[in-house]
Amino acid sequence: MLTNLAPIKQALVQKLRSNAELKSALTGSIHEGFAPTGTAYPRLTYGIHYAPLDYTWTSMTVEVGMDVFVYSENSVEADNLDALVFATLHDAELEVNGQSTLICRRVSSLSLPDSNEEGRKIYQVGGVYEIWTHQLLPTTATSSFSADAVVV
Amino acid sequence: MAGILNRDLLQKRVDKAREAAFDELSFAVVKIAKQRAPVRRVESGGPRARYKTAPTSLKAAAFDAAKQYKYRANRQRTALEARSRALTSLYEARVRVRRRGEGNRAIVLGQFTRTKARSVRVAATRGAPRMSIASKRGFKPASGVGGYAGIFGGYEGANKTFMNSLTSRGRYELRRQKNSAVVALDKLGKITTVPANVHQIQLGGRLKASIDVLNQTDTSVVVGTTVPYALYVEFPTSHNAAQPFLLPALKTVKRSVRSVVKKHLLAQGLVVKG
Repeated sequence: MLTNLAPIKQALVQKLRSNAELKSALTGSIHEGFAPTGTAYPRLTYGIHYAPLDYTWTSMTVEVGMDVFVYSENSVEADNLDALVFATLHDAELEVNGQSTLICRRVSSLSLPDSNEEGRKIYQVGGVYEIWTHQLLPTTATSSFSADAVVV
Repeated sequence: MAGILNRDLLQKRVDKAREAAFDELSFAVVKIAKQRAPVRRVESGGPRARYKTAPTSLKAAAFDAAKQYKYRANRQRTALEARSRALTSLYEARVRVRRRGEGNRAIVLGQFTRTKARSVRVAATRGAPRMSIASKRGFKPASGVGGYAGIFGGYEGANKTFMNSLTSRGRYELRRQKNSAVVALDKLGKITTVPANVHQIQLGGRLKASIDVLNQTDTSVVVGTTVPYALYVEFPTSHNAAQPFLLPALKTVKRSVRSVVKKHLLAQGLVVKG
Protein backbone atom coordinates (compact mmCIF):
# COMPACT_ATOMS: atom_id res chain seq x y z
CA MET A 1 0.00 0.00 0.00
CA LEU A 2 1.50 3.32 -1.06
CA THR A 3 1.47 6.00 1.56
CA ASN A 4 1.10 9.66 0.68
CA LEU A 5 2.75 12.77 2.06
CA ALA A 6 0.60 13.03 5.17
CA PRO A 7 2.81 10.71 7.28
CA ILE A 8 5.84 12.85 6.38
CA LYS A 9 4.15 16.03 7.58
CA GLN A 10 2.99 14.18 10.66
CA ALA A 11 6.51 12.93 11.41
CA LEU A 12 7.96 16.41 10.98
CA VAL A 13 5.48 17.99 13.40
CA GLN A 14 5.97 15.11 15.82
CA LYS A 15 9.71 15.72 15.76
CA LEU A 16 9.27 19.46 16.29
CA ARG A 17 6.91 18.87 19.18
CA SER A 18 9.32 16.39 20.74
CA ASN A 19 11.64 19.30 21.51
CA ALA A 20 10.13 20.54 24.77
CA GLU A 21 12.11 23.77 24.75
CA LEU A 22 10.93 24.64 21.25
CA LYS A 23 7.37 23.63 21.98
CA SER A 24 7.12 25.81 25.07
CA ALA A 25 8.81 28.77 23.36
CA LEU A 26 6.32 28.77 20.45
CA THR A 27 3.47 30.69 22.04
CA GLY A 28 1.64 30.87 18.74
CA SER A 29 2.04 27.12 18.18
CA ILE A 30 2.73 25.26 14.92
CA HIS A 31 0.62 25.80 11.79
CA GLU A 32 0.52 24.34 8.31
CA GLY A 33 0.83 26.87 5.47
CA PHE A 34 0.03 30.04 7.38
CA ALA A 35 -1.27 31.01 10.78
CA PRO A 36 -4.73 32.53 11.20
CA THR A 37 -4.95 36.28 11.80
CA GLY A 38 -4.41 37.18 15.42
CA THR A 39 -2.20 34.20 16.25
CA ALA A 40 0.39 35.13 18.83
CA TYR A 41 4.11 35.41 18.14
CA PRO A 42 6.44 33.55 18.12
CA ARG A 43 4.92 30.92 15.89
CA LEU A 44 6.05 28.34 13.37
CA THR A 45 4.68 27.42 9.98
CA TYR A 46 5.53 24.49 7.77
CA GLY A 47 4.42 23.48 4.30
CA ILE A 48 5.34 21.25 1.41
CA HIS A 49 7.38 23.13 -1.16
CA TYR A 50 8.01 20.33 -3.63
CA ALA A 51 7.62 16.57 -3.60
CA PRO A 52 8.69 14.75 -6.75
CA LEU A 53 8.38 10.98 -6.67
CA ASP A 54 11.08 8.70 -8.03
CA TYR A 55 10.13 5.18 -8.97
CA THR A 56 12.18 2.09 -9.55
CA TRP A 57 10.68 -1.28 -10.38
CA THR A 58 10.38 -2.26 -6.76
CA SER A 59 10.46 0.92 -4.72
CA MET A 60 9.60 4.58 -4.54
CA THR A 61 11.63 7.45 -3.17
CA VAL A 62 10.02 10.76 -2.27
CA GLU A 63 12.13 13.90 -2.06
CA VAL A 64 10.04 16.29 -0.05
CA GLY A 65 11.11 19.90 0.39
CA MET A 66 9.45 21.34 3.50
CA ASP A 67 9.41 25.04 4.31
CA VAL A 68 9.85 25.52 8.04
CA PHE A 69 9.77 29.13 9.21
CA VAL A 70 9.58 30.77 12.61
CA TYR A 71 8.01 34.21 13.03
CA SER A 72 8.80 36.51 15.88
CA GLU A 73 8.62 40.18 16.77
CA ASN A 74 12.19 39.93 18.02
CA SER A 75 15.04 39.13 15.66
CA VAL A 76 17.16 37.45 18.35
CA GLU A 77 14.27 35.28 19.43
CA ALA A 78 13.58 34.35 15.79
CA ASP A 79 17.21 33.33 15.28
CA ASN A 80 17.28 31.34 18.51
CA LEU A 81 14.10 29.50 17.62
CA ASP A 82 15.41 28.81 14.14
CA ALA A 83 18.56 27.36 15.70
CA LEU A 84 16.36 25.10 17.85
CA VAL A 85 14.43 23.97 14.78
CA PHE A 86 17.69 23.29 12.98
CA ALA A 87 19.05 21.28 15.92
CA THR A 88 15.81 19.29 16.02
CA LEU A 89 15.42 18.54 12.33
CA HIS A 90 18.85 18.57 10.71
CA ASP A 91 20.06 14.99 10.24
CA ALA A 92 17.16 13.77 12.35
CA GLU A 93 15.57 10.38 11.93
CA LEU A 94 11.90 10.98 11.33
CA GLU A 95 9.46 8.23 12.13
CA VAL A 96 7.42 8.18 8.96
CA ASN A 97 4.63 5.66 9.01
CA GLY A 98 5.10 3.04 6.29
CA GLN A 99 8.30 4.59 4.95
CA SER A 100 11.93 4.65 5.98
CA THR A 101 13.63 8.03 6.22
CA LEU A 102 16.86 8.34 4.29
CA ILE A 103 17.78 11.93 5.10
CA CYS A 104 16.35 15.03 6.68
CA ARG A 105 18.58 18.00 6.00
CA ARG A 106 18.32 21.72 5.73
CA VAL A 107 19.13 22.67 2.15
CA SER A 108 18.52 26.41 2.20
CA SER A 109 18.16 29.26 4.67
CA LEU A 110 16.12 32.41 4.39
CA SER A 111 15.46 35.52 6.40
CA LEU A 112 12.47 37.60 5.33
CA PRO A 113 11.67 40.55 7.60
CA ASP A 114 8.10 41.70 7.07
CA SER A 115 5.43 43.76 8.76
CA ASN A 116 2.15 42.49 10.16
CA GLU A 117 -1.38 43.93 9.95
CA GLU A 118 -0.65 46.36 12.76
CA GLY A 119 2.48 47.60 11.05
CA ARG A 120 4.85 45.94 13.50
CA LYS A 121 8.01 44.39 12.17
CA ILE A 122 8.02 40.62 12.04
CA TYR A 123 11.17 38.56 11.65
CA GLN A 124 10.72 35.45 9.57
CA VAL A 125 13.64 33.04 9.69
CA GLY A 126 13.86 29.49 8.45
CA GLY A 127 14.53 27.46 5.38
CA VAL A 128 13.81 24.40 3.33
CA TYR A 129 14.40 20.97 4.81
CA GLU A 130 14.75 18.14 2.39
CA ILE A 131 13.37 14.82 3.54
CA TRP A 132 13.96 11.69 1.53
CA THR A 133 11.81 8.71 2.29
CA HIS A 134 11.81 5.30 0.75
CA GLN A 135 9.18 2.63 0.53
CA LEU A 136 8.83 -0.66 -1.24
CA LEU A 137 6.16 -0.98 -3.87
CA PRO A 138 3.69 -3.81 -3.68
CA THR A 139 4.77 -6.60 -6.00
CA THR A 140 2.68 -9.17 -7.78
CA ALA A 141 3.46 -12.67 -6.56
CA THR A 142 3.32 -15.44 -9.15
CA SER A 143 3.24 -19.14 -8.59
CA SER A 144 2.61 -22.22 -10.64
CA PHE A 145 1.23 -25.55 -9.64
CA SER A 146 -0.09 -28.70 -11.19
CA ALA A 147 -2.65 -31.14 -9.95
CA ASP A 148 -3.27 -34.74 -10.75
CA ALA A 149 -6.74 -36.10 -10.65
CA VAL A 150 -7.40 -39.71 -9.98
CA VAL A 151 -10.69 -41.04 -11.14
CA VAL A 152 -11.72 -44.03 -9.17
CA MET B 1 41.39 0.27 -38.69
CA ALA B 2 43.04 3.14 -36.92
CA GLY B 3 41.21 6.27 -35.84
CA ILE B 4 42.82 9.65 -35.32
CA LEU B 5 41.57 11.51 -32.27
CA ASN B 6 41.00 15.08 -33.17
CA ARG B 7 40.90 16.82 -29.80
CA ASP B 8 39.53 20.12 -31.12
CA LEU B 9 36.73 18.42 -32.98
CA LEU B 10 35.87 16.36 -29.91
CA GLN B 11 35.80 19.46 -27.73
CA LYS B 12 33.56 21.24 -30.21
CA ARG B 13 31.10 18.37 -30.20
CA VAL B 14 31.06 18.20 -26.41
CA ASP B 15 30.48 21.96 -26.25
CA LYS B 16 27.66 21.71 -28.73
CA ALA B 17 26.03 18.88 -26.81
CA ARG B 18 26.38 20.77 -23.53
CA GLU B 19 24.85 23.90 -25.00
CA ALA B 20 21.93 21.98 -26.44
CA ALA B 21 21.37 20.17 -23.12
CA PHE B 22 21.47 23.47 -21.22
CA ASP B 23 18.95 24.97 -23.61
CA GLU B 24 16.57 22.05 -23.32
CA LEU B 25 16.80 21.83 -19.54
CA SER B 26 16.48 25.55 -18.92
CA PHE B 27 13.52 25.76 -21.30
CA ALA B 28 11.85 22.94 -19.39
CA VAL B 29 12.41 24.69 -16.04
CA VAL B 30 11.06 27.97 -17.43
CA LYS B 31 8.04 26.23 -18.91
CA ILE B 32 7.10 24.39 -15.72
CA ALA B 33 7.73 27.46 -13.56
CA LYS B 34 5.48 29.51 -15.85
CA GLN B 35 2.76 26.90 -15.58
CA ARG B 36 2.95 26.97 -11.81
CA ALA B 37 3.33 30.71 -11.28
CA PRO B 38 0.13 32.25 -9.96
CA VAL B 39 -1.63 35.07 -11.80
CA ARG B 40 -3.59 37.72 -9.94
CA ARG B 41 -7.24 37.88 -10.85
CA VAL B 42 -7.79 40.99 -12.94
CA GLU B 43 -11.23 40.40 -14.31
CA SER B 44 -14.36 40.27 -12.23
CA GLY B 45 -17.25 37.96 -12.78
CA GLY B 46 -17.21 34.22 -12.80
CA PRO B 47 -19.62 31.33 -12.94
CA ARG B 48 -23.01 32.29 -11.57
CA ALA B 49 -23.80 30.73 -8.26
CA ARG B 50 -26.44 28.04 -8.35
CA TYR B 51 -28.80 27.45 -5.50
CA LYS B 52 -31.21 24.76 -4.52
CA THR B 53 -33.89 24.70 -1.88
CA ALA B 54 -32.60 23.55 1.44
CA PRO B 55 -33.81 20.25 2.89
CA THR B 56 -36.73 20.62 5.31
CA SER B 57 -34.64 20.10 8.43
CA LEU B 58 -32.03 22.63 7.36
CA LYS B 59 -34.72 25.09 6.30
CA ALA B 60 -36.41 24.85 9.70
CA ALA B 61 -33.07 25.38 11.41
CA ALA B 62 -32.38 28.44 9.26
CA PHE B 63 -35.80 29.96 10.08
CA ASP B 64 -35.26 29.32 13.77
CA ALA B 65 -31.85 30.90 13.63
CA ALA B 66 -33.27 33.95 11.85
CA LYS B 67 -36.11 34.28 14.40
CA GLN B 68 -33.78 33.95 17.33
CA TYR B 69 -31.35 36.39 15.87
CA LYS B 70 -32.95 39.49 17.41
CA TYR B 71 -33.04 38.01 20.88
CA ARG B 72 -29.37 37.18 20.93
CA ALA B 73 -27.39 39.13 23.52
CA ASN B 74 -30.51 41.26 24.24
CA ARG B 75 -29.80 43.44 21.26
CA GLN B 76 -32.36 45.60 19.55
CA ARG B 77 -33.61 44.49 16.20
CA THR B 78 -31.58 46.22 13.57
CA ALA B 79 -31.98 46.68 9.86
CA LEU B 80 -29.42 43.95 9.32
CA GLU B 81 -31.39 41.48 11.38
CA ALA B 82 -34.56 42.37 9.56
CA ARG B 83 -32.79 41.86 6.27
CA SER B 84 -31.47 38.52 7.40
CA ARG B 85 -34.98 37.32 8.30
CA ALA B 86 -36.48 38.69 5.12
CA LEU B 87 -33.85 37.05 2.97
CA THR B 88 -34.23 33.75 4.74
CA SER B 89 -37.95 33.64 4.13
CA LEU B 90 -37.79 35.17 0.66
CA TYR B 91 -35.34 32.67 -0.68
CA GLU B 92 -36.65 29.83 1.44
CA ALA B 93 -33.26 29.21 3.00
CA ARG B 94 -31.54 28.38 -0.21
CA VAL B 95 -28.38 26.38 -0.21
CA ARG B 96 -25.60 27.27 -2.54
CA VAL B 97 -24.66 24.39 -4.76
CA ARG B 98 -20.93 24.18 -4.77
CA ARG B 99 -19.61 22.33 -7.72
CA ARG B 100 -16.32 20.57 -7.72
CA GLY B 101 -13.50 22.92 -8.65
CA GLU B 102 -15.92 25.84 -8.78
CA GLY B 103 -13.39 28.20 -7.30
CA ASN B 104 -11.02 27.61 -10.15
CA ARG B 105 -13.51 27.64 -12.96
CA ALA B 106 -13.41 30.35 -15.49
CA ILE B 107 -15.71 31.86 -18.03
CA VAL B 108 -14.76 30.56 -21.40
CA LEU B 109 -14.42 33.18 -24.08
CA GLY B 110 -13.79 31.49 -27.36
CA GLN B 111 -10.91 29.18 -26.69
CA PHE B 112 -9.51 31.24 -23.85
CA THR B 113 -10.44 31.10 -20.22
CA ARG B 114 -10.86 34.48 -18.66
CA THR B 115 -11.73 34.91 -15.05
CA LYS B 116 -9.22 32.88 -13.17
CA ALA B 117 -7.08 31.75 -16.04
CA ARG B 118 -3.47 31.16 -15.12
CA SER B 119 -2.29 32.33 -18.48
CA VAL B 120 -0.94 35.74 -19.32
CA ARG B 121 -3.56 38.10 -20.65
CA VAL B 122 -3.16 41.08 -22.85
CA ALA B 123 -6.05 43.40 -22.29
CA ALA B 124 -5.64 46.00 -24.90
CA THR B 125 -3.37 47.60 -27.41
CA ARG B 126 -2.70 51.29 -27.35
CA GLY B 127 -1.31 53.48 -30.05
CA ALA B 128 -2.20 51.05 -32.78
CA PRO B 129 -2.91 52.46 -36.23
CA ARG B 130 -6.58 51.51 -35.79
CA MET B 131 -6.81 53.41 -32.54
CA SER B 132 -8.91 56.27 -33.82
CA ILE B 133 -11.54 53.90 -35.14
CA ALA B 134 -11.37 51.63 -32.16
CA SER B 135 -11.66 54.41 -29.63
CA LYS B 136 -15.10 55.23 -30.96
CA ARG B 137 -16.21 51.72 -30.37
CA GLY B 138 -14.62 51.34 -27.01
CA PHE B 139 -13.39 47.96 -25.89
CA LYS B 140 -13.83 45.30 -28.47
CA PRO B 141 -12.85 41.70 -27.90
CA ALA B 142 -10.78 40.57 -30.80
CA SER B 143 -8.68 37.59 -31.66
CA GLY B 144 -5.18 38.73 -31.16
CA VAL B 145 -2.14 38.10 -29.04
CA GLY B 146 -2.57 36.75 -25.58
CA GLY B 147 -5.67 35.43 -23.81
CA TYR B 148 -8.00 38.15 -24.97
CA ALA B 149 -7.04 41.23 -26.82
CA GLY B 150 -8.94 44.32 -27.66
CA ILE B 151 -8.13 47.66 -29.09
CA PHE B 152 -9.28 50.85 -27.48
CA GLY B 153 -8.12 54.39 -27.27
CA GLY B 154 -6.00 54.20 -24.17
CA TYR B 155 -7.05 54.08 -20.58
CA GLU B 156 -8.96 57.35 -20.80
CA GLY B 157 -10.89 56.05 -23.76
CA ALA B 158 -11.75 52.72 -22.24
CA ASN B 159 -15.46 52.33 -21.99
CA LYS B 160 -17.20 51.75 -18.72
CA THR B 161 -18.25 48.23 -19.57
CA PHE B 162 -14.65 47.22 -19.96
CA MET B 163 -13.53 49.03 -16.82
CA ASN B 164 -16.35 47.47 -14.82
CA SER B 165 -15.34 44.05 -16.03
CA LEU B 166 -12.01 44.41 -14.23
CA THR B 167 -11.29 43.82 -10.60
CA SER B 168 -9.77 46.63 -8.59
CA ARG B 169 -6.40 44.98 -9.21
CA GLY B 170 -7.05 44.98 -12.95
CA ARG B 171 -7.98 48.67 -12.94
CA TYR B 172 -4.90 49.44 -10.86
CA GLU B 173 -2.65 47.64 -13.32
CA LEU B 174 -4.27 49.41 -16.24
CA ARG B 175 -3.69 52.80 -14.61
CA ARG B 176 -0.12 51.95 -13.69
CA GLN B 177 0.85 50.80 -17.16
CA LYS B 178 -0.93 53.36 -19.25
CA ASN B 179 2.24 55.12 -20.25
CA SER B 180 4.60 52.20 -20.37
CA ALA B 181 5.50 49.85 -23.15
CA VAL B 182 4.91 46.39 -21.86
CA VAL B 183 6.08 43.34 -23.66
CA ALA B 184 3.14 41.18 -24.55
CA LEU B 185 3.29 37.46 -24.29
CA ASP B 186 1.06 35.03 -26.00
CA LYS B 187 -0.71 32.16 -24.26
CA LEU B 188 2.39 30.02 -24.34
CA GLY B 189 4.53 32.75 -22.88
CA LYS B 190 6.37 33.59 -26.08
CA ILE B 191 7.15 37.17 -26.93
CA THR B 192 4.96 38.25 -29.76
CA THR B 193 6.04 40.54 -32.52
CA VAL B 194 4.85 43.98 -31.64
CA PRO B 195 5.07 46.88 -34.07
CA ALA B 196 7.38 49.63 -32.84
CA ASN B 197 4.62 52.19 -32.44
CA VAL B 198 2.33 49.91 -30.48
CA HIS B 199 2.42 49.82 -26.73
CA GLN B 200 0.71 46.86 -25.19
CA ILE B 201 -0.82 46.80 -21.79
CA GLN B 202 -0.63 43.55 -19.97
CA LEU B 203 -3.00 42.82 -17.16
CA GLY B 204 -2.07 40.15 -14.66
CA GLY B 205 0.72 37.66 -15.01
CA ARG B 206 3.64 39.99 -14.33
CA LEU B 207 5.43 37.30 -12.34
CA LYS B 208 4.69 34.61 -14.90
CA ALA B 209 5.86 36.78 -17.77
CA SER B 210 9.12 37.60 -16.02
CA ILE B 211 10.30 34.00 -15.57
CA ASP B 212 13.18 33.39 -17.91
CA VAL B 213 16.84 32.42 -18.22
CA LEU B 214 18.65 35.22 -16.39
CA ASN B 215 22.23 34.16 -16.89
CA GLN B 216 24.05 31.45 -18.74
CA THR B 217 27.71 30.49 -18.55
CA ASP B 218 29.65 27.48 -19.76
CA THR B 219 28.85 25.57 -16.62
CA SER B 220 25.60 26.97 -15.30
CA VAL B 221 22.20 28.34 -16.26
CA VAL B 222 20.25 30.62 -13.97
CA VAL B 223 16.49 30.55 -14.33
CA GLY B 224 14.58 33.08 -12.29
CA THR B 225 12.55 36.21 -12.18
CA THR B 226 13.37 39.85 -11.66
CA VAL B 227 10.03 40.67 -10.03
CA PRO B 228 10.84 41.88 -6.51
CA TYR B 229 7.91 40.16 -4.81
CA ALA B 230 8.71 36.75 -6.30
CA LEU B 231 10.39 35.66 -3.07
CA TYR B 232 7.16 36.26 -1.16
CA VAL B 233 5.26 34.07 -3.61
CA GLU B 234 7.78 31.24 -3.65
CA PHE B 235 8.06 31.18 0.14
CA PRO B 236 5.43 31.72 2.83
CA THR B 237 5.02 35.03 4.61
CA SER B 238 3.35 35.91 7.88
CA HIS B 239 0.18 36.67 5.88
CA ASN B 240 0.11 34.11 3.08
CA ALA B 241 0.95 30.51 2.41
CA ALA B 242 3.64 29.82 -0.21
CA GLN B 243 2.78 29.32 -3.85
CA PRO B 244 6.05 27.73 -4.96
CA PHE B 245 6.82 27.78 -8.66
CA LEU B 246 10.61 27.82 -9.18
CA LEU B 247 11.97 25.10 -6.91
CA PRO B 248 9.30 22.55 -7.86
CA ALA B 249 10.13 23.20 -11.52
CA LEU B 250 13.81 22.65 -10.87
CA LYS B 251 13.13 19.47 -8.92
CA THR B 252 10.90 18.11 -11.66
CA VAL B 253 13.52 18.68 -14.35
CA LYS B 254 16.45 17.52 -12.22
CA ARG B 255 15.65 13.85 -12.69
CA SER B 256 15.90 14.12 -16.48
CA VAL B 257 19.31 15.86 -16.54
CA ARG B 258 21.23 12.64 -17.09
CA SER B 259 19.07 11.42 -19.95
CA VAL B 260 19.02 14.83 -21.68
CA VAL B 261 22.82 15.16 -21.54
CA LYS B 262 23.19 11.60 -22.79
CA LYS B 263 20.77 12.26 -25.65
CA HIS B 264 22.68 15.31 -26.86
CA LEU B 265 26.07 13.59 -26.57
CA LEU B 266 24.74 10.72 -28.66
CA ALA B 267 23.36 13.21 -31.19
CA GLN B 268 26.89 14.51 -31.62
CA GLY B 269 28.10 11.03 -32.37
CA LEU B 270 29.76 10.52 -29.00
CA VAL B 271 29.49 7.18 -27.28
CA VAL B 272 28.10 7.38 -23.78
CA LYS B 273 28.67 4.60 -21.31
CA GLY B 274 26.48 4.22 -18.27
